[in-house]
Amino acid sequence: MSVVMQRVKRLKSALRDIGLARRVGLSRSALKVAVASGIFDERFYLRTYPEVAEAPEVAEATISLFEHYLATGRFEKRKPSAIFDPVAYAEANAEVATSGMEPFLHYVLIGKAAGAPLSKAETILPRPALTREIASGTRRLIVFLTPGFEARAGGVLSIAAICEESAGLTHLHRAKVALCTVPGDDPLFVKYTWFENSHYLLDLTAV
Amino acid sequence: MRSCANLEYLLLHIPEYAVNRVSEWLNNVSSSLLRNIREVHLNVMLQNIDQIQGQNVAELKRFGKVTATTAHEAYSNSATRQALGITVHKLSVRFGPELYKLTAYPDKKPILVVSPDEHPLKEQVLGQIACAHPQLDMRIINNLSYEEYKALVSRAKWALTFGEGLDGYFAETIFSGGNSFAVFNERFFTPAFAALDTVYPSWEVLQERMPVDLQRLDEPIAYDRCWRQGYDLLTSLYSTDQFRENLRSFYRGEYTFP
Repeated sequence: MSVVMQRVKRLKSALRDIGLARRVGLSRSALKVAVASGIFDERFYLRTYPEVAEAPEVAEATISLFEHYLATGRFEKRKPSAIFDPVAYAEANAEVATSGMEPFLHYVLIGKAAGAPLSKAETILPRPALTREIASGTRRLIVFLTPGFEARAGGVLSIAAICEESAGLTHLHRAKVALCTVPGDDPLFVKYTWFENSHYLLDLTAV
Repeated sequence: MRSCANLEYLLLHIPEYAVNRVSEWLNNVSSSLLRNIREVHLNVMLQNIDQIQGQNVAELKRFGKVTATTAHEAYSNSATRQALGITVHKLSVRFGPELYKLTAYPDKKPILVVSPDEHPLKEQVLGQIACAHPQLDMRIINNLSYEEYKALVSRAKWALTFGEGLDGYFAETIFSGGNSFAVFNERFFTPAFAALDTVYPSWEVLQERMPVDLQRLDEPIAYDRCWRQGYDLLTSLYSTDQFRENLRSFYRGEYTFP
């Protein structure tokens, strides 16, 4: 390809980006960061908001689902994926309200690099430190899921016991071991108090 | 999963009652959080075989290797392996007599520990026992810490479970020197438990015989003979050393029903 052709291609691409950035109300640099964040999950978005598929511009394929999210969904506090809830993010980060940005944009431009928590559940001590400790450089991970509420049941004792024993077998599985709450249970629940134990329950998604 | 950027291997141990919820979570995050993980292993912890009803274990296969570990001997078999369509490993539980304070008959108090499980005949059964044994202190377990519960069980002569039968209320009482009453439930008890004096074939039989047996067994020799039968059966099934060996086998990938 000649140099001229390459320049024309780049120019066309730039014009497309400028057009898209304008349509969705972002600067070009912000659009780039939003794309690079990889937070948007098309399958999740369509499954969670099936009515989006019927929006005329989506149905006619004038815009993609990501463009729909950027142009409309983020202002309606819709979730771009299972791992980002704009309402929970805004609750956990008071500065979002004063920033003049909606939560998604705040996260991709500021929060992500700063390690901002995605929800209040991630801020409960000692969760942030334990999550970092479990996740840091980890290539192999074993997670035990347990009820995220004060369930007084033999099953809970048993899970805690198997978790403890597993943590002592790293020579066999070469993995770190964590105890996390079952997805969907109370995200703020962090410790059982009805039996003596030293376990802190982590958030599976955050780990 | 968000913080583990370099994850290559993930093993999720899932309690049986939560299989569908975890499937839904996996479905939601598979294209974001799980996409770079080379090996995903999902293990269903079968702690109560009744609670796997309505859970779609096969659905988990979409996300990786699926196995199940069992807690009770009664369903640690090839029939469970066949019914679930996945590898099954007998794990058992970390449970053995050394974890309990054994109290002999002379030091026991006339306390009947009652499990908190709901049952349609519970009120009626407890009413009949109270009528026949007004001096008996019946304690339905509620809002006790586990340590308080264990202390109570070590003092109590008796326990009655309205749960799955072979549960903590039954077994921990025996390891604490007490005698436990239950109705035989083939999904949790092995057949040998049916021969115990205090395990009845039905709730009707329990209602008829338990008040009489409480009287009959409340003397040192009969009490100890009955306790010994249950204790021997339990120790033949449960040992912390065996549990640890089973756990090691699991992590070595040596499964009981591959």
